[in-house]
Amino acid sequence: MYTIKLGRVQEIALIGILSALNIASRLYLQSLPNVKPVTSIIIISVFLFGLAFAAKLTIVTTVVSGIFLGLGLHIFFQILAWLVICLFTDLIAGVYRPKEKMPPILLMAIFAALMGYVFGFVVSLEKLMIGGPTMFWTYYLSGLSFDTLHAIGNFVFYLICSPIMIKTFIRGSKSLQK
Amino acid sequence: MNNQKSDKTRILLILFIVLSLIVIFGVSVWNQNNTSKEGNNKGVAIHCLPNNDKLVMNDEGVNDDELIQDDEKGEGDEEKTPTTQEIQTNEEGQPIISQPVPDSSDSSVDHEGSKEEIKDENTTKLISVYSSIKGLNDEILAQGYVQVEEGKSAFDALSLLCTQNNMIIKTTGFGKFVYVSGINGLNEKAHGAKSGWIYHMNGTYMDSGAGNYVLKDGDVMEWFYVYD
Repeated sequence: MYTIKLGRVQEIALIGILSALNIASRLYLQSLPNVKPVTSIIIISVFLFGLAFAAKLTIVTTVVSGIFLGLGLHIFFQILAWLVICLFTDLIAGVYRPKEKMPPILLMAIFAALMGYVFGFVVSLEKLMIGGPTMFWTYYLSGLSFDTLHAIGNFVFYLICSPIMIKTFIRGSKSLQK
Repeated sequence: MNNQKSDKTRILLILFIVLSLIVIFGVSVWNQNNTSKEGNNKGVAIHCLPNNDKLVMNDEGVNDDELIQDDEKGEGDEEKTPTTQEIQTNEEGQPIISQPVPDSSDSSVDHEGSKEEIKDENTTKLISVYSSIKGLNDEILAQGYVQVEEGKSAFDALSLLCTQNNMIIKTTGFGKFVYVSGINGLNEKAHGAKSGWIYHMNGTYMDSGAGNYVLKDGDVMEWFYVYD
């Protein structure tokens, strides 16, 4: 496992770039419900840059894309859901960090797919707050098909993104250290 | 150094998530308690099942004010108003017959015998609402007065009217977010993409859902099927 240490300015610049990528994907993939690379990118950034970086990236992504897609209570729940995903990923990263290697890509793709369901569950908690348990279960169960789409999207995007991002950033950090 | 920092962020994150979960569950429990005090009937909203309690209340449901009015008017009142007789047929299990809009004071039913029972059983006030359902080409599917408890929504009145006329409502959602997609087999999008059911309350178009509108005494509710 290889955690890249960033300077302050580098961190700000990277958060800007990655969140811009996330926001652009959320805006332009609107026609495909829930099939977005955002969750995969957040999971990868937990591995590469640590938990604090991923949390900042999550908040910037959600709030700024919320300005375009509509602000509301759901913004808070999306942040909460991605923070929960960050924590889960951090648990796995804690296992692989001492070994100094990346976890196997297929395992992580399946993990990313599972995180699609976690995201759907946490976002549905909004309805628990508004309409009580009956409304929550109806909303959650009717949203399961969309969660499945999210899971499939995560699986595919993790397979696409992780080799590219991991190679690029590790190579970039090495060239910075020289 | 770096380890300590990451531990700190981890603890902060866990605290944040736990706190917000506590807030979410707290609010939901608080909401639940509030709604159960109001005692709204959730079973009606999901499907238009015949609700026996409600029907019984509707038959016996007579306002105290109206009873007094009836007493003052005397027995001769019944012969003058056809409304009274028509609603009385409803007691024998027949559906409400369509009728023109009469004065609201005439819509009461004479129930001298059960007056005391009503006071014991129903402490909630009943209100009467005139409602009508018009299908294709302004064909009237159902029409008449329904009596519902105070605080019920427009959807409750519609479902009660449909139960009395043996019509089936198709809905999606429930509670305040209920959406009427079809009445008596006439569904939305069956006659053009923009066709569907809308309702007017006291002659004006309502842009909020039927589950969200709280009925007042003497409201006139009209349901229309609009099509391209």
